Amino acid sequence: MVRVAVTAPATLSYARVIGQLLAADDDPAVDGTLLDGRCARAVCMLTVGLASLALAAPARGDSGAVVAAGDPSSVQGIERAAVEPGDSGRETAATLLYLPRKAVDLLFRATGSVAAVMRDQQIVPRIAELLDPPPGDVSVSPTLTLGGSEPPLAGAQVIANAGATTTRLAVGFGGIHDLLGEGRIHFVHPGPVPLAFRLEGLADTRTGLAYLGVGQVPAQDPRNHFQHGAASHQADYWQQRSRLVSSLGARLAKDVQVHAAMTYVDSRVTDAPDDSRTIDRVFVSGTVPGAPGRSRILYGETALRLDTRPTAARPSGGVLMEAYAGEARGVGGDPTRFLRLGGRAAFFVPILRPTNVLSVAVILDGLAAPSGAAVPFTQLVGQPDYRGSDDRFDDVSYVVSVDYRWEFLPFLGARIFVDVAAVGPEAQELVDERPRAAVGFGLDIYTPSTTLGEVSFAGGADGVTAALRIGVPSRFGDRLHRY
Amino acid sequence: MQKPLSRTLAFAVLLVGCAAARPARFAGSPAVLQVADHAPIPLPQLRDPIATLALASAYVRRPVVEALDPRRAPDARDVNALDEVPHSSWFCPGCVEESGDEGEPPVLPFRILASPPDSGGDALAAVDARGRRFELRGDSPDRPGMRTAAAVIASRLAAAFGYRTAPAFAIDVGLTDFSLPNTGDDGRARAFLGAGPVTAGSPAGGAVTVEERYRIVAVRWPIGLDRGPTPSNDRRHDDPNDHVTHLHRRTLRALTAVFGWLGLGSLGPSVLRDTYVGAPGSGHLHHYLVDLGDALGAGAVVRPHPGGATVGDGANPWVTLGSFGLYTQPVRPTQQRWLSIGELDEHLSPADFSLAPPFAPADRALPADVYWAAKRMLAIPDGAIEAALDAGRMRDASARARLAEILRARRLRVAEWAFSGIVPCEPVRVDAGELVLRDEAASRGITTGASPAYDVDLLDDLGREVLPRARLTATGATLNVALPAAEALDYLVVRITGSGGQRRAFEAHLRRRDGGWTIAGVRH
Repeated sequence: MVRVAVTAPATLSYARVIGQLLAADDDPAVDGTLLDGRCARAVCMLTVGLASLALAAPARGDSGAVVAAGDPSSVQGIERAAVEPGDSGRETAATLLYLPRKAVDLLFRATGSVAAVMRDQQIVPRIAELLDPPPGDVSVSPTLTLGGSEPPLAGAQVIANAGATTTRLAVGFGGIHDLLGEGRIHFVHPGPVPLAFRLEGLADTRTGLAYLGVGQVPAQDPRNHFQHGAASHQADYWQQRSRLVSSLGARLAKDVQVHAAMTYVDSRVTDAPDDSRTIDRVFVSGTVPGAPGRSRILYGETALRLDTRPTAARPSGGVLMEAYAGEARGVGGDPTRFLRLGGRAAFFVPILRPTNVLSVAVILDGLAAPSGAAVPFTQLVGQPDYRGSDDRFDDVSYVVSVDYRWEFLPFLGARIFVDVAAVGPEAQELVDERPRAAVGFGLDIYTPSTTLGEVSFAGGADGVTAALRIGVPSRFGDRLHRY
Repeated sequence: MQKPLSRTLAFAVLLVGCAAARPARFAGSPAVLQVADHAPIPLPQLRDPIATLALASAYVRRPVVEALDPRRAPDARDVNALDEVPHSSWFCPGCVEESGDEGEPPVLPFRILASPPDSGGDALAAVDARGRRFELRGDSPDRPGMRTAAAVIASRLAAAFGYRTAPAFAIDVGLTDFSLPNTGDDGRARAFLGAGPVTAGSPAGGAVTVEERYRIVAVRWPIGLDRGPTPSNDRRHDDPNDHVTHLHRRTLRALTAVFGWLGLGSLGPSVLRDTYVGAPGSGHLHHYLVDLGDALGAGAVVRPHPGGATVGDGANPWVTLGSFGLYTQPVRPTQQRWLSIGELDEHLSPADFSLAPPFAPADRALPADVYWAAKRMLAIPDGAIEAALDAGRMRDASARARLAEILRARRLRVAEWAFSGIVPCEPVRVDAGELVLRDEAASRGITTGASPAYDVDLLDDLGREVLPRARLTATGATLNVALPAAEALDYLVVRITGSGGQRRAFEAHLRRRDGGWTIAGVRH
């Protein structure tokens, strides 16, 4: 299997453009030059100027005349610019390349405050990250998402940065049934204990989503009740979601963050019309909780994170520890109730050089329903950290990753990695499961504060996965944005 | 349906791509010799960009974005009709009086300031006996006299070129030359001076400490109110006088040639600084070269590296990639014979010279920009170079002689490179129905390896041929181009191209006036 995922946003700083237009129209340097008390100075400058030009000995058509000006065209004395051979073709090509060019430009703006609204990650920025880009920027950018398991989505986003407050509005369109609208506002209080408050709203409808069933090997897992004679063991479904997220984070110490979040998700799973692989045609009707159906879930979570690395982007040594716990309850008559518990531990060890880093990471995620109530399949634990195929779901999951990263050019690093992952209904069964493994290599481009792009290739029993991610990495998204 | 549409699109692209070229048209107004960008403006913000983010932008963002932009770099926009740079807040040959108190050296004693230096770095901020601010820097213990001499010599040469440059002075000081009124000042002064004992150089660069006296460089900064590093890409949006995108400023583009000559490969935030001169509200910005202590190869000294290099320091990135970053590549250390000279020799390849971090305007330098820079460099008299070396107070006479030799050789390399990329002509006069040009390469004895034979095209303002192309051979350094009668046309472009066609053409634009031709503009 080959999966390619591309996310490419771009920007155009209208504030800057407008600033340039205003500056061009209002040219104070043109007015009053040589008319005020600087006449003597101007004469002196003229003398020096003539002398200096004489050094290079140009001949002059009208020597001696001086027109002081600030406008570049009047300084150049050109009333019509030259057109060089090929200029028009280059302009045409530049127009065609406008979107990708601006997309890359935005990626670099995706640091600091802007990153805060773009990342699917709870984060309290370090103080330095709040300073760039400068307050006052409004960026409009196109977006494009291509994914093997999801239909492409094209759209646009507006990001406004007003210093402590950053907002993002985004819309996406992938067809009449694939629509997305999202708004985020992120407020940062950079005091002695930096605080970050975030409010988000999302509404989307997506088609062509895939579900294989639960378990490490879904086709053989007895909990999956496949229809006899089903053409495939992979079902397709549509999902319509409305999601509200509010979160408050605090950086208690230089490397310690604590987050509390509340999420409300209203999800409606439906079958695709005229689809031979709907959930009801692949699985025995009623055996997949929440399919088709509607769930309305309120989820509260607290997370504590220790990250001693100077930056998560560049290879650097340190320790990352994170733990979270949360409870979900159905509302409006939805009987759903479950708990989430998990965490990750990673150790980053420099080898010979600070920028050669060997890391070992263990990611554990768990879900439990003490009341025995069924959990909608869309809320099951997935494995976004696994760099093979992220298509296994269950109640418990682990991913163990061993990475070796090394920087070979400034801001460009390479990595080789091995991921081992398994899911299961219980922790004990995880040990018994035969894990999936993916081995691969990749290249990363990053700034000091964030990863800009990754290309990676991973091979395993499920096939080969190629991933190209331009922009903020999505696979590090936290629980709040997975469901 | 698909096919005709594709064909139409392809045809449209082809049509647009083949649109006719045409020359520029000059207005014929007198050439601007000064840009009055000194109108009073409010005090701009202090720029303090995050260094690491600026590096990421320079190393990653810009190369990728520019790779997706096939448009050619436009001609410099801070030049006048004669293709020269007018005087402005950026470029001001001879403006010594504006470079800080007539360029007078500091008057001792210094009073150490608690605040860090405005230009950043490891300098010591101080005020001299006349109340003028200076930033004091010393030498590396293993390279006595190198950095201090470089700061002084390079600043003098850059000023001779025409840049506004913070005056720098190499002086010897002792602890008694510091007034230390505050607690802790004594310790700071000792810690600072401990880095750079004065040495009396032997021919081989051996060092003898001169007791109690220390050699430092005092850079007159800030002159006015420091407003941070000069932006490399955009204009300063809080400076209404700043009308030219910095990418298009020849004064900045030319730095690739100037710094190549001066051996300044590292461009930290303390090198290019903006300063506000005048009282807040009635002043304006000037743009300075400030800390040139890394010039003359001082910032590129390669010290014996027991661990070798993996990233940077000349390491081959493919070796680093292939060896998983574990192989440490050997490095060649800088010469030890003249300790007061850094990693600098006469073997300069200007085309390969680059600044670190990459400097966007310099990367957009066109042949016309480096040609202009080369002309300015060649116009600096040898006496001015000698005077700059004298100001550097190098104690090792052989090092001084060696440095003079290197500077002259590197200047010649830059000129050869710059002149080979362009048709190096300058208009002399128009008379008796002919345009008289001077071949600058022949005139200055610069060897470019290119044929001295030129082709001349006479075009109207839309680029249409007025007369068939003709071969033009220089007589010495003079070229004579016969012009058609002015009655038939009102605008004439004389385009001189090199015989190989690889060099950027020279254009003289002529307008009819009083029955004859007069020069309206020049493009290189």
